[in-house]
Formats: sequence, structure tokens, C-alpha cells
Amino acid sequence: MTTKNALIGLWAETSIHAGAGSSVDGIDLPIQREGHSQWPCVFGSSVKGALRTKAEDKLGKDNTSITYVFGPDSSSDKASEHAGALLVSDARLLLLPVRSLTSHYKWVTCPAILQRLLRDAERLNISLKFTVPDVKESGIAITSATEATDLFLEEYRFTTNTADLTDLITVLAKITGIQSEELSDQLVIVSNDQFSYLAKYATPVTPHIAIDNEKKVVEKGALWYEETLAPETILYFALSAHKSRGDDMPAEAILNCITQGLFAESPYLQLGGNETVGMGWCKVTVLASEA
Amino acid sequence: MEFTIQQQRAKKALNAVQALRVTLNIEKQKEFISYANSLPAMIHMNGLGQAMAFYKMKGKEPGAYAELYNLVSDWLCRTGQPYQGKQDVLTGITQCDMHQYQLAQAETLVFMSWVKKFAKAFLAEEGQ
Repeated sequence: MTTKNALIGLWAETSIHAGAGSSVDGIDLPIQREGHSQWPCVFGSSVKGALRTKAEDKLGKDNTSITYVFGPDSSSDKASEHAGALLVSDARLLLLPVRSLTSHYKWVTCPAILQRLLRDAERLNISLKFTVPDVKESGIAITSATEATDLFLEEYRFTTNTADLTDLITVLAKITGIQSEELSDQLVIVSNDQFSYLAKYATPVTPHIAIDNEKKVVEKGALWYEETLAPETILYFALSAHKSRGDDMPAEAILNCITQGLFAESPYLQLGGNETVGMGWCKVTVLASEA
Repeated sequence: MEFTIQQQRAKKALNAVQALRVTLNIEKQKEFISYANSLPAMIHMNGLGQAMAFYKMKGKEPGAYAELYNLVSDWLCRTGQPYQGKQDVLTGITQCDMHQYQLAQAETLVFMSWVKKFAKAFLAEEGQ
């Protein structure tokens, strides 16, 4: 079966709260994370839901192409007839914005994340060419800055090593739509272990309360702590299209429904919860496979 | 008998919280629940060092803040923990390296999730 693939870059413009529901480590409303690495992510079902919502807003809920692309509505009696023709992956973390004493913020990533990006691209038949920088020591941070000065991420001090990251920056710019100069200033690569730590503890956690409107005091028990992904977080997900089950729409047409139909005029996607308080807005960049 | 690290954390937290039912009055038990609730978020937002320094400052008088500071401190300084053999958590933070600090912060957060749950389960809450 011929499939058509695309890699979709997401640049968070506001905070994202894709919630995991249950409490761990004392935070009441944590975000979704991958089980083995604890890296933040947005599950494929959430991403697919966001795409479907955008499509339904544009074309109407009962549009037939929506049924072919995404599958019949789960609340309809046709839900078991056929699956959708579009495969949506988890949105995976690529660059984590981390506060830094030495600049406004840094985009932090690590060798394991970059290797996974290469593997994902290979699977999707998208050619990305860069060398993954090598960094194993915990106190080292690789940057492309010309002068090496110590760097603070959160409350930790790193010694910087300068490296030529031109190829990597070119690829990241293509996936994310961020200007190369900006990436060059802000990109930092730390060891896998240090990245895991930052990915777990450098996320924003904010207290929320509910006010009893009559008495203007906090309602009983209404104080909770909510974790989010900060604005400027960079994620990506894979889209693969098969030919449709119903009316033989070719894979390319299915993929185009999303990449052209949905994103050409408004390259934005709203992911995760708290939509009505402005959360979850990402800028979309589409990178389609050549063949 | 062997116990998992989670069992050991649970045991320490359970014993400590049950002892507080005797040593803290109702008002202070309510405070303990509330401060135990906000400690993990404070650590996440400000780091272990700042959070523990804040609890130390607030815990000058005996009460909920002091109990929480001592509980975390005892746990992190016991055998097998990141600040083993140190006098208290602030001594550990100021004398050990970044790696130990990160371990201590991660350990405190998992330990606190037990303390937080047991406090809500066993201590007197608002409206009781």
C-alpha cells in the first residue's frame, strides 16, 4: 500500500496543557509524558482530536471527506464500519525552552532527541542531514556561539563548548520555521541525563484557585497546581496517509486534505486543554516526503 | 525481608504523619495538609534549595513548617539517600555537588507525594 508522509513541526505560541489527569510527584495536574523517558509529549489521540476539530470547524461535522480522513464519528452508529485513512503520531519534544540567567531563554535539546528525529524522518522517507553532536559530561553545554562563556540553565551552571552546528540549525529551521539566526543564538545541546532532568523539572507549574463569587474568598479545597509546556516549546509529529477505505481517495489526496486544506490558509493548531483561556496554540510547519 | 524504595518512603511518611495526630493540634494539622500540598510545587518552581530555605525560615516556631522541614531533612540525610551523613538538608545542599542536588530534589518530590496523600488521609481537614 502506498503511503504519503509528512513531518509537522509545532512551535508553541502559548502555553500547552495536554493533561495526563492523575497526580504524580505532588503536582495536581501534570502534563502528558512518555512512559520510559518522562519527556513531555502530546499523545497521538490528542493531536488527532485537534486536527479533527479544526477540520470540522472548517467543513462542518458531517462532511464526508472528514469521515474518510479521520474515520466515522465515534458517537455515530457507523463507527465500526472502517478506520480513518490518516495516521497521526504522538507530538514529540524537539526543543525545550529553559529559562537562563544569561539570556532571555535557551532552546535545549540532547543527542537522544536528535537521533530520534533522524530515525523518525527516515521512517517517513524524509531526508534530513546533520551530525548529532556528542555530549556526555553533565556539566557541558554545546552552543554555536562564537565566544564561550558559562551558561546558566534554571539554577545550574554549564561550561559551554562551541561547535559548528550549521547543518543541524538548517534542518531545525526547516522543521520549525524558526529563523536560523535565532536558533544559532539560542540552541543549546546538553547530555541526555541533564536533558531528562530539565524536561522533568524545568516545566512551568502554576497555582490556580477558584473564588466564591459571593464572599470573594477562595472556595474550599479549590487550590490546585497545574503543569504546562511553556510557550516557545517545539514539538513535531508524523502524519501518514493511506488511500481511503470508502471511495478510493488516493493517499496523496488524503494527506493534502490536512497539509493544504487545513494548514495552507491558517497554519495554526490548538492542542490540549484550557482552550478558552488561550492555551495550546501552535504554529504549524509542514515538511512533506519527496517520494 | 526486602522492601522497595517506594515502600520505605511510604513507611517513613506514614509513621511521621500518624505521629502528628498526637503532637499537632487540629489547627496545626490543617496547616500541615496545606503546606505539604504546596511544597512539591514550590520545589518544582524554585528548586529544592530555595524551597527548603523558605520552610526553614517559616519553621522557626514549632509547627507545620518545622515538621515538614525536619521530615524532608531526616529522609534525605538517612542511609542510602543523597545527603546521607549530613547534619540536615541545607548542609547537604551547600556541601554536595550538582548531581547530588538533582537527586535530592527528585527524591524529595516522590517522597512528598506520599506525605501529601497520608496527610490528607489521616489529619484533621477543614470543615471537620
